[in-house]
Formats: sequence, C-alpha cells, structure tokens
Amino acid sequence: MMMLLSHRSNRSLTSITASLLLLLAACAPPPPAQAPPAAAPTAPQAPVATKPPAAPAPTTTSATPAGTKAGGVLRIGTEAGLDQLDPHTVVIGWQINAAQNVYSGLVRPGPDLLPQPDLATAWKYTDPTTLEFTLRQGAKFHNGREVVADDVKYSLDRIRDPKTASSYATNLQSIDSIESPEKYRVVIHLKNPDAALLNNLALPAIAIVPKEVVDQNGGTLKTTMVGSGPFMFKDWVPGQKLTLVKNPNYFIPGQPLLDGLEFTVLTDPTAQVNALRSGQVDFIEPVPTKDIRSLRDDPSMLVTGGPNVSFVGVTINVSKKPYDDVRVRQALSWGLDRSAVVDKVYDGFAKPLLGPPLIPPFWAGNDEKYYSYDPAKAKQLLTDAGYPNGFKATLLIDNQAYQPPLGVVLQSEWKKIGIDVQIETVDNAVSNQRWAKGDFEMWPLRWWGSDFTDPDGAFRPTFMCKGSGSGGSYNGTRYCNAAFDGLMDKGLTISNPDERKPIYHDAMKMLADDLPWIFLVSFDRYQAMKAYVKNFTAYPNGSPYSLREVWLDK
Amino acid sequence: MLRYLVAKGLSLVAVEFGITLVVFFLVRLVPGDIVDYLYGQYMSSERLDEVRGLFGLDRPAVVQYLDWLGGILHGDLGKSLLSGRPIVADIALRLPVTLELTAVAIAWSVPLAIVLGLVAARHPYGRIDGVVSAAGLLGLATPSFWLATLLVLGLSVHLKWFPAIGFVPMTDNVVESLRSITLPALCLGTTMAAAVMRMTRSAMLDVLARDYIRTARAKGLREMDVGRRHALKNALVPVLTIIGIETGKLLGGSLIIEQIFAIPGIGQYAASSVLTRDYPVLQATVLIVATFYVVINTLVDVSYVLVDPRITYG
Repeated sequence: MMMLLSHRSNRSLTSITASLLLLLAACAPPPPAQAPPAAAPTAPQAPVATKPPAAPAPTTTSATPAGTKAGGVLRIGTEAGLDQLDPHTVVIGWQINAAQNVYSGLVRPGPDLLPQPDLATAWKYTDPTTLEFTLRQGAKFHNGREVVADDVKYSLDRIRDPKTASSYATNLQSIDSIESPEKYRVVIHLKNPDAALLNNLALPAIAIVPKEVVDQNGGTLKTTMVGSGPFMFKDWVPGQKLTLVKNPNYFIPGQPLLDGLEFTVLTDPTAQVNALRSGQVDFIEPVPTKDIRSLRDDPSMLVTGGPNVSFVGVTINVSKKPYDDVRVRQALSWGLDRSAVVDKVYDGFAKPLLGPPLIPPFWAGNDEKYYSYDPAKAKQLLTDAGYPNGFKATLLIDNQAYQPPLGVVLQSEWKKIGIDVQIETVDNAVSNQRWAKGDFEMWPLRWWGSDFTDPDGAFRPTFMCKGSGSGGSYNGTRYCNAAFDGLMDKGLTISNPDERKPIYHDAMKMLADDLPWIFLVSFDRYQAMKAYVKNFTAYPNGSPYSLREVWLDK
Repeated sequence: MLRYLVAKGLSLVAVEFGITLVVFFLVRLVPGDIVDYLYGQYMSSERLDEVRGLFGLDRPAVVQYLDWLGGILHGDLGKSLLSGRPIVADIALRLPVTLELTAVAIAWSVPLAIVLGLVAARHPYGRIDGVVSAAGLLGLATPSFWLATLLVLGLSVHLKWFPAIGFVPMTDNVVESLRSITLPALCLGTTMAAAVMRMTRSAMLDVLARDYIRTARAKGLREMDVGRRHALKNALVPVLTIIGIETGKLLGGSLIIEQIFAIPGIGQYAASSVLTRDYPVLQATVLIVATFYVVINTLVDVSYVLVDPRITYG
C-alpha cells in the first residue's frame, strides 16, 4: 500500500532516483495509488526466451551494458497498421507498437502490466480526486526541446478534445481538468475517484507530444512523429514502411542499444514467415499458428511469447429476439465445444475460456470455470426458452484472418444443438458499422491484451449501460445491467488492487451469467525472430515494449 | 491521323469525366466508410456521426464531388483520409514502382510469347507445339498468387536466390532492383505470356492457311520470307490487340502481386484504400488506372496503322 512503484533492479532507474521515490512514498499521506498486487503476476509461463544475464543497474553514463553489443538495425515484419502516425488516434496494434518506441508517456506498463515511471518519476494522490505527478528533468523531445509540465497538459487535453476523435478519450473520462503549476509538476483534477486512471495513463496511446509540432503540421500528427522515446522518426511510406533511428539523447542511459528499427507491413501472414526465413526481416509478430512448431524447431530462430491475456468471443445483440432471452445465450455457451475452436482456428495455441474473459497472468484475471461442453444442457435451455427445435441464426463474419475459420467452426458446433447458423460475410468496415448500429445478431470480436491495462478500461465502455462520458460507448451488444454498472463504479473508488480484484471477479461472474458475449478462447501470441536477436522479453499482453533493450549478436 | 488523335483526345476527356462520376458515387454505394472502419468498434453511432463531420463526410455528396472535381482540374487529388498525406505526392512515389514492375513483366513475356507462338505455329500439332500449347494452357490456368507462393518457397526461402519481399528502386541499385523485381514480374507476366502466345499461334495458323500464302510459297519464296513478309505482319493485328488488353490487366494484376511481395506500388495503395474506405485514394487510383487503359488502347489503335497499311484513320 505504501509502495508506489513496482521497481525492478534490472529496470532503468538510477539508485538515487529509486531511493528518492521510496522516501517520497514514505512521506506521502496514504496514497490511493496503484501498488502491485501481493501475488504479482509474472510473465507467461510457457515458452519464454532465455534471456542473457540481466544487465547491471544502469549508471548515469550511456555506456553499453556489459555483455551486450550496441548497433545494428532490427527489421520487423508487421501485419498492418502503419497507415497514419498520430499516437492519439491509433486503432491498430502495430501503430501502437511503433508509437511506443517513439513516444513516452507519464507512466508505462512494466512486464507485470502495472505502471512504471516514464516521463513522470513519482506520483501521489493528494486527495482521492487530485493526482500529482513529478516530471523527470532533462528529458528532451527529438526536436531538442525539454519535456515540461505544459506538454503533459497539452497532450492529455488533446486526447480529451472531441475534435481529435481519439478512441482513448474514454480512458481519460474521469479527468476534470489538468494544471501545470510548475515546470516539472502536473496536477490532474478528477470528477470522481478513478483507481483505473494510472493504468490507463500507461497505455502507449496516451503519449506526450510537443504542441509546436502539432501546430506546424496543421493540427495533426498523422504524418510525422516527434516524441521523447528511445527511437526517432526518420522515414515513412504510408501503409508500407516506417524507419526509426536511435535517439542518442534518450533519458534512460544505455538505451536503446539498436541503431534503428525498420517496420515493414506484410499483410499476408505467409509472406511474413517467408520474409523471416529468407532473411529480409529479423522479427515478426504475431506468428501464424501453423508455423510456430516449425519455427521453434529451427535452430536459427527464436520463438518467444505464449499464453496471453488476449481473447476472442462472439458478441450478441441482446436486444434482438431470441437473444434477449438469457437462456438462449446460455445455451449457445453450453452447446459449444471450445476445444474445436482451439484446434481448428488456433492450431492448439489457445485455451478455452470457460468463464470470465480476463484470465491470469493479468492481475485482475480469474480462472473460474462456469461453463463446459454440455449439449444436453444446451438443448434443455433452448426447450425452456421455447425453441425445442432450435432456430435460424445469422452470424456476421468479416475479412480479418481469424474470422472465416471461426465462423465455420461455430456453425458446425451450434448445428449439433439444432441452431441453423447462416454466415453473412462482409468486410471489416461494414461489420464495424453494423455492430455500432446494432444491425447484427452475432459477430466475433477479438480483444488484444495491448488494448487495456485495467479491467475498468476493458469493461466500462464495452458492457456498461451508457458506456462512458466523453468517448461514447462501444457497447455494440446493447447489454445493460444496473448491478454490473454498480460494480464498475464501486471498482473505481477503491485503490488497493487486492481489494479491487474481488469486485472485478464478481463483475466477470455476472458477465458469465448474462453472456452479452460468448467468451470463446484466450489465444497465445508469439514473436519469432532470428536467433541473433537478444534480450527480447515477451509481455503478457504481447506488446514489444522491450525493443529498447534488444541487441543483435552478429 | 491528326484529326483522329484530336478526336481521341477529346473522347479521353469525356471518358475521364464519366469515370470520375462513376468512381465517386460507386465507392459511396458500398456500405461502411472510413469512420466505421477506424472507430466502429470504439464509439456509439451518434459519436461516429460527429466524427464523420471531422472528416468532411457529412457534407452532401454533390458538394464533395464538385470539391473533388475542382481539385483535379488544379492537379490536386486531395489528401488521404487515413494518412493525411497529399495523394499526388504518394502517387509520385508509387507510380514509378508499378510502372517498373509492369515494364519488366512485359519485357520478358511479350517477346518470349511471340517467339514461342511462331515456333508452335510453324509445326502445328507437332511435338513442340504440344509442349508450348500445354504450357500456354497451364499459364492461363495458374492463379498468379499461387505461382507467387511456389516461387517464393522454392527460389527465396530454400535457395535464397531472390528476396521474398520488398522492392529496391532502380535509382538506388540497378542489380538489387532487378533482383527484387524478378519474382513479382515473373508472376505478373505469366498470364500475359500465355495469352499472347496462344493468340500469336492461332493468328499465324489462320494466316498461314490463306490463299496468298499458298501463292507466295508457289512462287518459290523461302519459308522464312513467307513467314516474315506475308504471314507475321498480317497476324500481328490481333496480337497487338491482345497485348493492349493484357497490359491493362497487368495494372489490375499488380494489385495482388504487390500485396504478396510487399511492393509499395499503386496496386497496393489501391487495395488498402478499398478495405479502409479511404475514398480520395481509391478515387485517385481508379482514375489513374482507367486513364492508363484508355491511353494504351489509343496507342494500340495507332499502332495498327504501322503494321497494316490497309488500316487508316481519316
């Protein structure tokens, strides 16, 4: 509770800063800030790359840590998402992954997904609705100007501005106003206590940007990147290639080790694997499941990653008949052999989700099993609901790679309990549109772990009656349960993660009973790289945060 | 001839105008727009409508169309809704890439196809003709994406002769540029080679059966001269036609090939703009490809005059 930060010896804090922070923590009034839960979740258990011995605690000189080699460019194959560069309006995974290497935030997620210092070295709640940050001194934007409190205020206000059209405005909805009273001090005033805020501020999209660069580019950051992170923008071919170079003045000494990063978009997963094998790229993420085994067996390759907090489910429009009857939704959940999804869609690299959507190692995760495969029970529920012979259903399927095979599996599974599923194939722009409008019956949706750091950020806009204030709801299912909303609001007023956790476990039990989504599987995420890529750490949400620590042994 | 070219030029303008109308309103008939694509999962319907306003998509379609048309007349194709970059600048980057790819595809496929077609026609239904004709059928029937996958697996992944992906501009390094373009150009040109070969063969066979060929042979001309002076020239007209059509198709084929090999050309640009509903980019790329079609067909029409003096444009 008194511990403000999760601080690790191999993390990049000087011991002086660390002691200062501990001192600060000791002096501050009991702060309702995040502390790591008692049983700190660790990185995923399954295949994680062996890391070289941890680098010694960095000193203030920018010497290369012992046992590592500086230099070289890491060439990364990405599946999509270099269409525009504004970190505040990103929507696609790899855009965020590129942005997090160029921009810094106030805080950033650690390997346990809990916030760690970034531009802010310390923070405390002076009262439950006032959060104060102390900024790092001497951190510079890539244009040479120092990052100060005004930049933080400007950036957070930019995300909150409806004109920016940032989908992350939702994550900052509790903020009332932001002040920058001193050069290195930021004060955030809240409308209501928000225990999730600190986690939300660690999202890579909540990036601190320089106002003058936005102004120079006509109010947008879509076409250039000027941050204060480990890499600097060099060149960009939209939708195709992004070249970043080392920031020699990065505020964490000894980072980054690489001279640069080069992202190439390869929309075809097979092309990604081919490019890795033939040596045009050094690193790909995610790895197509059918290639994981052969890449693992290849001694010139290294595969990292594994079980992950990302998941996929089928969203259901609960305002439509017959889905408005919870027994029908429960029948869909009982009457589904999730191992078929695991085997046929994910080649075995997934785990059935038999209950709540959030599972360990996410800190609020829960492994309860509320459902199993029980077609008899499903049929009974359908009979009780007045559909003894099943019914005709329409499943919306779009052009994202996982959707068509998933559609076929669901169709054949549900046929066994008498539900005749018609698949309607559209492309992603249409499925998104119809979901938002409520013009659908069922549509699979995938949730990347990198999209959330807090259960509130995940659940509030998705399952609450009204969604959130400023960003607008993305509750496409039309699910509304006042008791669930109550739990969500209660969860924000409690600061201790250990005390918060049961609230979200209750909320997930409620979701499992009400089933606005049929939660299907939690899928693994793997990165594959050439064996000479060293020191990559897989985060449990799949984010390649550790690229700044990566070096090449060649 | 001049009058013909002027008339053709005027009709080109009319065709272009028609294309702008069709492409502008056609892309808007497809459900879903860029706001749905980007934010549909994250915002309510009401909020999506607000954001649509930020993209200028709430204005009446006619106003948007006139706005776009006015821009085109000033050489401005607008800005990408997705990247915010001027489309003219992006096309200037990407068009040379697609042109290089297409040029290399034509450069290997057309001469090879014509030679093979002639050889096959020389001894119809013989052994050589059998092999060439079978190869032609196979070439027509093989989907380019499948061929691409096979070639990449064999020549890139296993033998490492060619890069599996990517493109090196001619101006950077000529050898590397040709290496990077070899596989894509090979895949892209296959269908064209097959089509041109089959057309050359059948046109030659058709001509060789004519009376004047028999006369030429009867008066003692060597077979070589019969072929060159009498047969080939007459057979070339349908071959030129099919070359024109197939060249147009190459631009369409580059859509797929550029995706597979991650080549930053026009096809890739167009394909991604379809999925993201980036209207201005889609409109601009369709407009450019359509213009190419029209220009190539005009060139083919003009070239008839050169090979066949009986054809004139008064």
